[in-house]
Amino acid sequence: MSAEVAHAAIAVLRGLVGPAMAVVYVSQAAHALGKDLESLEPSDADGLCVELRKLMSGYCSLAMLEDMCEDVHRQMAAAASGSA
Amino acid sequence: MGVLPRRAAVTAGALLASIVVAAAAMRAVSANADMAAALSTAGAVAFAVFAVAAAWSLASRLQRGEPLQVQVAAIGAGMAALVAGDFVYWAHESLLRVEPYPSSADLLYIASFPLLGGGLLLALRAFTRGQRQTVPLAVSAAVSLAGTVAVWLTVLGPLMGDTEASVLEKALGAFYPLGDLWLLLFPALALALALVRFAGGRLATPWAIVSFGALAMAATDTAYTWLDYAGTYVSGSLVDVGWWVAYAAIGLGLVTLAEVQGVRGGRSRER
Repeated sequence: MSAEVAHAAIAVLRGLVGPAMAVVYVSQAAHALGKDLESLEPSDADGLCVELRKLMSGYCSLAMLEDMCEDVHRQMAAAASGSA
Repeated sequence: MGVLPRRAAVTAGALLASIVVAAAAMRAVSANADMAAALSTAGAVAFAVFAVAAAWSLASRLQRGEPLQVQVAAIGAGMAALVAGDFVYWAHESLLRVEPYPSSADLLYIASFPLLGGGLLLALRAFTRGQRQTVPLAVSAAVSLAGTVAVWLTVLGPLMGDTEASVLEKALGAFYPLGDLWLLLFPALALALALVRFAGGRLATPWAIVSFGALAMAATDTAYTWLDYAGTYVSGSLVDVGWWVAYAAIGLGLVTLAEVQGVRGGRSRER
């Protein structure tokens, strides 16, 4: 899998936490799953969201975290189908 | 979306206009010291009540016990303590005709520091989870320490050596400036510096505004400390506008927070 799936997740976070922290967060979350950015797959979206919630739940409302995770799922899947 | 969501931008414009008009009015009546002082107090209470209302409105729309609610509630409670302290101070001075300092108003003022500082520290911890934040903490501690030295050399040192001041007056006289420097300035500056890494993201903007408000409050309080010790402070002077700006900024930050978190109106979510 190319890095496009990871970039899709980063794009979701960019508007929320800025471009620098979006990369940091997705990288940390992927690392926690035992992966790097290039190897992320749409099936990792659930695990990625769990890790992102751990990082962001202190300053994100629960409602916003739900929305973010829906977006992450959708955008990662779209990126994977687009690059297939 | 620009720097601020639409509703927050409108609120910012209204607050700015209110501050400018009220400051002009206060300057126009400056020859009448009582009227200028009353206008100053009314403005401070009005902007602080706005901040309390913004905190209450947001906290009540978040789910019970979620971290963001605790931070907002702490800041709202801190602002409420300030408003209550102002009321008690006014009651002592104007109704009971007794010296308002020191008085029970000081208990409320003192309570506002850990509440406001605690809310800021909780937000700082939230934004720095999983990140090393040595520089913001070190820089903030250095600034607060420098301020402490300056205040000690100019005000606290002489106050502590004043044989006519009571122990309570010395304790309160030390707590206020030190509380400003370590319970307001330190967490607010550390949070503001930590938020730099979040530049370009909309979640940092509200807390940057709240931090600015807390920094403005600490700066105005410190200016008041120096002016009061020098005997040159006059209630109703333009330095009081600093408190208006501080309280208005904290309220605006909380209004903006509600907007960016999508909890405006309780249900709607801005995307």
